[in-house]
Amino acid sequence: MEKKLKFIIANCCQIEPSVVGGDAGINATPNWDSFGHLQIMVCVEQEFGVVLDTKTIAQLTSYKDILKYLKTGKKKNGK
Amino acid sequence: MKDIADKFIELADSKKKHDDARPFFLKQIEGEYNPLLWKCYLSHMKERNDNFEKKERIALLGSSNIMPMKDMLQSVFNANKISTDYYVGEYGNYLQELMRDASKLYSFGPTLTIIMLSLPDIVPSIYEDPFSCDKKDVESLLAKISEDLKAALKKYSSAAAKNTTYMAIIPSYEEPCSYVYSPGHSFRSDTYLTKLRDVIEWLENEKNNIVMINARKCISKYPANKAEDKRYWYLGRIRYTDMFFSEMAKEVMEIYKIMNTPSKKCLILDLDNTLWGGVIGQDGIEKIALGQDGIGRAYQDLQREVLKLYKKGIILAICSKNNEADALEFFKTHAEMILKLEHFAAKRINWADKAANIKEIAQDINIGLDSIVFFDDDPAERKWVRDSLPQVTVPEPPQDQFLYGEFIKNSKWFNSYRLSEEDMSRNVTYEAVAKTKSLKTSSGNEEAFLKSLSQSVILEGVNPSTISRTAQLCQKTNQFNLTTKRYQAADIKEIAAHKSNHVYTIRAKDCFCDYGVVGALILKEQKKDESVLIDTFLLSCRIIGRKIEHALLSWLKARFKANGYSKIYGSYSRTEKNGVCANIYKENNFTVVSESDKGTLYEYSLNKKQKLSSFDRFIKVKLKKK
Repeated sequence: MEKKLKFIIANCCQIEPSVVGGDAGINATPNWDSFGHLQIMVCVEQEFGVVLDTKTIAQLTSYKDILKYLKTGKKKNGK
Repeated sequence: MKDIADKFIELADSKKKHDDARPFFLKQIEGEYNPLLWKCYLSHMKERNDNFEKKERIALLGSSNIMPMKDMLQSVFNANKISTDYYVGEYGNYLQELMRDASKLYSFGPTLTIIMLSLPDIVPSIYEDPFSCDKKDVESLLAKISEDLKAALKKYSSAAAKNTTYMAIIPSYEEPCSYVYSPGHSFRSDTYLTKLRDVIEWLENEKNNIVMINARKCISKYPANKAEDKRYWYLGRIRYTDMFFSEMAKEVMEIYKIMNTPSKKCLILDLDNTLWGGVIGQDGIEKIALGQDGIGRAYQDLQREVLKLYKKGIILAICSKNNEADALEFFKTHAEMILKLEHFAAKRINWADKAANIKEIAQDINIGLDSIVFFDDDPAERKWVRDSLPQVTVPEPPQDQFLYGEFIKNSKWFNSYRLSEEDMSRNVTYEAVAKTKSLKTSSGNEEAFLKSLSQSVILEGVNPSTISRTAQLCQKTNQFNLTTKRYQAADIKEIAAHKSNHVYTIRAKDCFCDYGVVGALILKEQKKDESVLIDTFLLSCRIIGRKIEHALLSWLKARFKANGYSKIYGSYSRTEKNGVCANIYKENNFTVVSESDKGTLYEYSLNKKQKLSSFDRFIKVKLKKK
């Protein structure tokens, strides 16, 4: 799952997967801006077969948040 | 899904198979939408030093945020070997950008502008508060918007003459009065769409550099929840899904290809199990499936599609392994045949090798092999022709023979953006070509033959009604084309706008028919040595061999001599296909100025006395006054 997520982020941001570290996130990773973020979310939905609600899309702004959500179905504040 | 993106990356990252990644991508995007595949294209192909064949500067203007279009377009254009630069306008600001010369849009200097407008953005007040609008309000609002759009696009298309604008007005899934089942004409999104489409259609006819994208075709491929996504609207003012944008990008590419690449000219068909069901030689005429009812209808429908192509100006030919007498008899006697023998410009019904037959057909009708599509149900014949004549397009038809008609209908080989008068009458003139061939044989010598044709050639300054035909000729003419400059409508317009240039269309007539506009001549006067340069001289292959090129050159010499000019320059740039006109200047007493691998520059001094050739006496050349 980690590998796949990094792969998605790398391709959406047009960077090497090796550059996507654990601290990757919006405005910290090249091309992961508000537009790039939506592109990542489209691919996450498609590749992991999930449907994210609008608030979740707005909140899952880092690699760790997305990973946690995918593993537990929870957002970072635990709700 | 993952497999496709993985496979693509494998190809893209491999040194040996890198070139296969492009066609793989283009094939895959025809299937189910795969967001990761689209993303992978740019991240894995972008940094390679590819040999792009063309470059375009693309401006994107939208009534809402259409940013996702950029990557989608870049992927499709790059996959088609076209490199692209982008300008993405601020959304909702399109009218101001189009109207203001000093806008960033103008300074970017686009060659292609894509404008995507959504109805709820164009008429927000009706969508936001429909019950406060009355019929009159709606009408006056629409009239104002139509006028604004017309004015802005008119200005832009004149000012940015090198640019082509692709316009899309996207139908809306949203209705302004969704609580009312039948709200009346003024409150239906379709009414607004039709009104705005009328404006674009009017502009399309007025201006040669505005085309309309069929957005309904793209959006109707998906249910509403796949084409629009409110989440992205609230988060980023993006109305549509990436899925829809990918469809639009493909549509833009399709129009771009239609506008920029010559379409195929000739369809060569097999007979047994292609035009009808069964094999005449084995099954006998009575067992052949062809007719109004049952499965015979499928073959009739295929024939109807082929007949449509004929009427659109596509040349038809037959290449079949059969006893000729049997096949011809079938055509003449079977009452359910839609296609008749006279629809075919050439026939090769024999037991000889099909590749050799196709080569002969190409010579017969005077077209290049790369203008031919060969349609046959037999995989062995397809492979043979594909291997022997790689220039010929040999499509892989569907397994199910009953779907051949649909397959032809959805094919893209013969598409054109507009339908010109010449397209419609082309097959009439091919019949005339066949008749002149028989006249040539009966008249015995060439002089008598040319005399008997009573040919006349009319030159006319290019005008708005002939610009697109002139551009079409520049794009399509391969054989008699001395310089093969692929001008587009905007280029022609720009050239014609200079006082010292002359752009003429060439119309030809003979005792059989009016061939319409069959050629173009572009002349540039050069003040410094009182000369005139033949920039472009091309003639359609339908009238090659009729000597009108000689008559035209004589006319040019006489005209410019009378006007006090001293020289005519003309050049011949060699291509793989224009050998037919290599010696035209030599034959008309031009002398060589310089020669290189690419071509030759000739001159003709107007000071010497001109000798009339015999052709000049038989072919009348007239200049039509404005």
